[in-house]
Amino acid sequence: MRLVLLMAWRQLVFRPGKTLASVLGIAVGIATVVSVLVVDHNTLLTQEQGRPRVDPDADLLIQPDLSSALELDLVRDDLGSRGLLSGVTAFVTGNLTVRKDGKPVSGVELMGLDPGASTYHGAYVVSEGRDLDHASPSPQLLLSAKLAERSGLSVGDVLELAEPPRNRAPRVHCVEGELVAEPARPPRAPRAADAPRSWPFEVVGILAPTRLGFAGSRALTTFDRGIEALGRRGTVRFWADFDASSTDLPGVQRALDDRFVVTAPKRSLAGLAPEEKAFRSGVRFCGFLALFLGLYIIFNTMSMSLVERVRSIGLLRALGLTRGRLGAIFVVEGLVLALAGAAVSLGLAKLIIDFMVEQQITTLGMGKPLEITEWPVVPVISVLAAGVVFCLAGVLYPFLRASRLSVIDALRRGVIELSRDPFTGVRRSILAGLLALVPVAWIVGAPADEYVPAPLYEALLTAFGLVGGLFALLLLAPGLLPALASFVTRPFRGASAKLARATLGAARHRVFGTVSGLLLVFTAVFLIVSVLESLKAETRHFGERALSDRLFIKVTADGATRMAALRAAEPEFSTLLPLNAEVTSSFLVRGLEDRQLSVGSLARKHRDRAAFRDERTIILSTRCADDLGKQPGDMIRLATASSGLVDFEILAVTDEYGFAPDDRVFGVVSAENMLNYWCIESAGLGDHYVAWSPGLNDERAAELRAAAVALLGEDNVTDFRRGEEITQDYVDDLDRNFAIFYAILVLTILLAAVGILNAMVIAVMERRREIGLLRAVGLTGRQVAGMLLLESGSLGVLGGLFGLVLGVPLAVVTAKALTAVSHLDLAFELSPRALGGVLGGAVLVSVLAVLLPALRANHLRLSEVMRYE
Amino acid sequence: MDGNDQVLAAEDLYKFFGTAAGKFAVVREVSFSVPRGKLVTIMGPSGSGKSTLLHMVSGLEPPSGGTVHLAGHDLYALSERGRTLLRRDTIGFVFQFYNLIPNLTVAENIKLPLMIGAGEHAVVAAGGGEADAPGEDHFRQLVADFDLEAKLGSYPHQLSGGEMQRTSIARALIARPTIVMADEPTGNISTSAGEEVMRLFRRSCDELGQTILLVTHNPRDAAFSDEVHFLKDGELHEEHRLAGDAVTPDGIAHSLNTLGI
Ligand SMILES: Nc1ncnc2c1ncn2[C@@H]1O[C@H](COP(=O)(O)OP(=O)(O)O)[C@@H](O)[C@H]1O
Ligand SMILES: [Mg+2]
Repeated sequence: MRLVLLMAWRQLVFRPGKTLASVLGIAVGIATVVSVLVVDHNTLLTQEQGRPRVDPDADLLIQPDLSSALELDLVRDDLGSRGLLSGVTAFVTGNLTVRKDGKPVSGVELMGLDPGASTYHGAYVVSEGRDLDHASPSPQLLLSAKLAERSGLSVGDVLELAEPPRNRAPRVHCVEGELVAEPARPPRAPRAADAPRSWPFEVVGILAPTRLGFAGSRALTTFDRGIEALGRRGTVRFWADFDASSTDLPGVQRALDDRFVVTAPKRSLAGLAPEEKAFRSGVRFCGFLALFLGLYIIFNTMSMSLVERVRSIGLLRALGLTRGRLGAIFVVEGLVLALAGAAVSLGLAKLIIDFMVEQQITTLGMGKPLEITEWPVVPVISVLAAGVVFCLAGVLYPFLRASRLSVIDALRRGVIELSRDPFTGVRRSILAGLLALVPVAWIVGAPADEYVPAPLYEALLTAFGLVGGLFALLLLAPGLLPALASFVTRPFRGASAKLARATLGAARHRVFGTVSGLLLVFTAVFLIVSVLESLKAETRHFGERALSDRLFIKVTADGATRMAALRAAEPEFSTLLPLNAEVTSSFLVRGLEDRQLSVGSLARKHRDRAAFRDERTIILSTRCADDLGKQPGDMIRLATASSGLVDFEILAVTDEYGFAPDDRVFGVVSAENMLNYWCIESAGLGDHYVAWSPGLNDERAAELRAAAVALLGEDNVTDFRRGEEITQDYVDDLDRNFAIFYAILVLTILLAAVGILNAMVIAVMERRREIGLLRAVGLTGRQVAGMLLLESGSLGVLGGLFGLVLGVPLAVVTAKALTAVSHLDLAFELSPRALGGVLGGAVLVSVLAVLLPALRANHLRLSEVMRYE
Repeated sequence: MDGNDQVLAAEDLYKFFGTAAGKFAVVREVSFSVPRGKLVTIMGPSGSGKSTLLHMVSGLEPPSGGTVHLAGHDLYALSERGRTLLRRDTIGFVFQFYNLIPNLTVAENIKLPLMIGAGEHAVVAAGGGEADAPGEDHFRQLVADFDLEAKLGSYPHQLSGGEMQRTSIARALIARPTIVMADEPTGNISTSAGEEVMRLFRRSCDELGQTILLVTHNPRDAAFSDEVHFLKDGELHEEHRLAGDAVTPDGIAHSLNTLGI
């Protein structure tokens, strides 16, 4: 044992550069993954903070078109029988008054629930007492903790729920699309018939302050009791989950469109929208690529130490060291490297995380608040363990090779040529590593996520197919890469080029290892740059349609009172109108005055503009229409505040009138309809304004801004931007959002460079004698360096080219998948930036990585090399 | 004579190597033995198959035919692991090149066989010496005899060729092996250093009763031995074998001449 430790220790200490490279390699790999996991975890935590879970965990909230309570059972059956949904659970809500001993104690929101509410959707938790008994004949009640506290009620108490006292009616309210002014009633003496009806309930339990129990004054009962108590003032809705096979909100919306309005409340939760999930998965996947490259480095380093120590191994074996103990030396070395790497990685991860916190780089993009409150222990430990296992896997091949070494060969030749060794594990370990990567990445990378949207799933399969196919081709035609590499060096003449070609032809495995490492990294680079570019192109395109030629102004309430003056001040301001009337139905609906249609594709369509103002019509954004599968002329059902579900005719599909840069799914109705159906009046509400101002240049914009400031006061103009500027800001935002990818890619490229460096050092070491001989017969140091540069450079070119070969189809597939999940109109475009970055980057990395070995070869001491030969 | 006095017995050894041109025999029909406590030399010119023969009788390279008995064990009836352990417990090696582990100091290199055997069950009791484990005293003695005190903390690359070879011989002797096998131990060092090395071998044979098998092409080295076999083109010419008092520089020169070496 002492010998094993001594040998392992000396090797690590006497080769500090190599040890450091290995430790750093594995550390950077692990640290990248760990920091991505920690930041992702805390990004979500930070997003959720101050946003307690107040709703049940249902995917969908469904509002039926119920004209009478009798229909309820039919509707329920209808929903259940469509085969799109599971866990369909009805609930009814309405407001009542809690009365105890005949006196009103508190207002309460009563919810009557189907039994499935807590089973399927975890709607509430009982912290005290017992759950509702749906079979019980007596009315039971669960109270939210705050309500119980405030009203002094506890388990076992009996109370009454009563209709609330009739308040003074609102002066005006909207009914059935009409504004109705109620005449003020004279106060009159109370009569017995007026006494609100009431129902006795027994408090059987108190709710924990989460989910439905979070609300200040809420009481839960069974659905039937709820209907009984609430009668007409109750609203019936349903919670439901996507059926396992359907996960597509627009699909469900389309299918239920005739009688229901469907919303997905959870989609607004941070990080869970499909496009955000895709983004986060991408980040994680890149992290794992880094870990894989860490393995490649360990592998190379251990191979290096094998090549270096062939003779020592031969001698030890001759002197009677068994294979087992020889293996122990390698395992101890590998373990020390792995554990040191894992330890260093934690510190490194801390640094990376601190940097990301400082720069506000989150897994949902940049510039979002991020606070690290906890490290997800299990995933971090699994990554550390995976790192250590990967590291030992990297040791495995060199050990196997060392233990199979013929003692005589080792002693006599003193060299094993890994690059020509048929048993060489570079390609095996790459494949094994890739295979091992898939389940690990899957387990750690897909945390608590319910489903992978179908298009994403297909994209993943296609991607694996493409990567697998390319690697299979390269493995089945092992001569291909060396031949291509020699071809690349064709333009070069002279001894260096000739020698480089000869080595490339012979060193198949090294060529394969280096090219495959490079091609993976640069495929990732290409993919990410391409996706970013097509996102930017899409944003610009949308900006052109929806934002450009417009002026967006934000003012304070004080400033809003002087808008009329501003409108008169400059011609560009004449169309300045408020943007604030908006509600969320199943998508965002905004109220606009028909004057705001005076520019754009509807400008000349007077009939449409009249219909917009006078009829129940709506303009949909392209993405909204796409989501819902609607066209102009179709009807769409919206949940209104005044009249339940109301059909609107789709007047047009265009993004021009949204003025909502950050929401692509929207509809526009007239200000009149907004008032009639949602009781929202846009005039005087607002602090957001938009004006049509085509052809505005920078100078004129500055003048206008000065005019606005002069009229409204500097403090009252909070924002003043042209649509083009907003578009540019969004494009810049995308750049920032992708910062995390760039951070990971830089680390990954670094790792790849270290990997190539190691491979080239091995190559130089293996050919020490050859190089020594060449130098002895007169090859200059520069020629040797040139040979190495050519070798490595040609591998870089191949890595970059194959990166493109793999990257282009992957980018196309990715663009398609992203289009499907995000409903952004993404198209793959070959951006010169991606092209240049990949080719240039791959060559640069491979050339830089060979500088050190080339320098070393240059300074090789001939006497030393030739000493025993 | 009983078999116990033969530490090593090789019988009818063959070794073929295959090349593109076909198989050819590097060692042919070789039989010889090494008696306990003697210094036996196999002499032959470069390329005659000396190293190959030595590797075969030490269990490093299986012969194409024939048997080897080492310390009473049929070497190639053992498993690979069995041979490894037998090597560990019975043989002290001195190779022509690359005898020392670069990452270990001179002291550690000398003690290497002890470290390799440490805590492991020995398959064969250590050879020619006292019953108790070879200890610090033996190490001190060897270091003093080999004049290596000043170099104990040095690493191999800081040594001269003679010092390297003295270190490897000390290593070969440290575990009191049943037999020391040396392959051209003087091949890479100066003549004077070579003589010094041979004197050390002679002394350990005379004073400690150490059995030694030496392979060399150098007649000066061979003159130190008790018995000399001549190998030419892979065949032993036993008719020219020299033993006892017949081993003199003149006798050796005469045999070489008649063999045409
Ligand atoms: N592994 C091998 N394969 C082919 N030929 C070998 C091998 N090992 C040794 N030889 C050949 O066997 C012959 C004897 O080699 P060797 O035993 O080293 O001779 P010596 O030690 O006497 O100089 C040489 O011609 C050598 O080339
Ligand atoms: Mg030899």
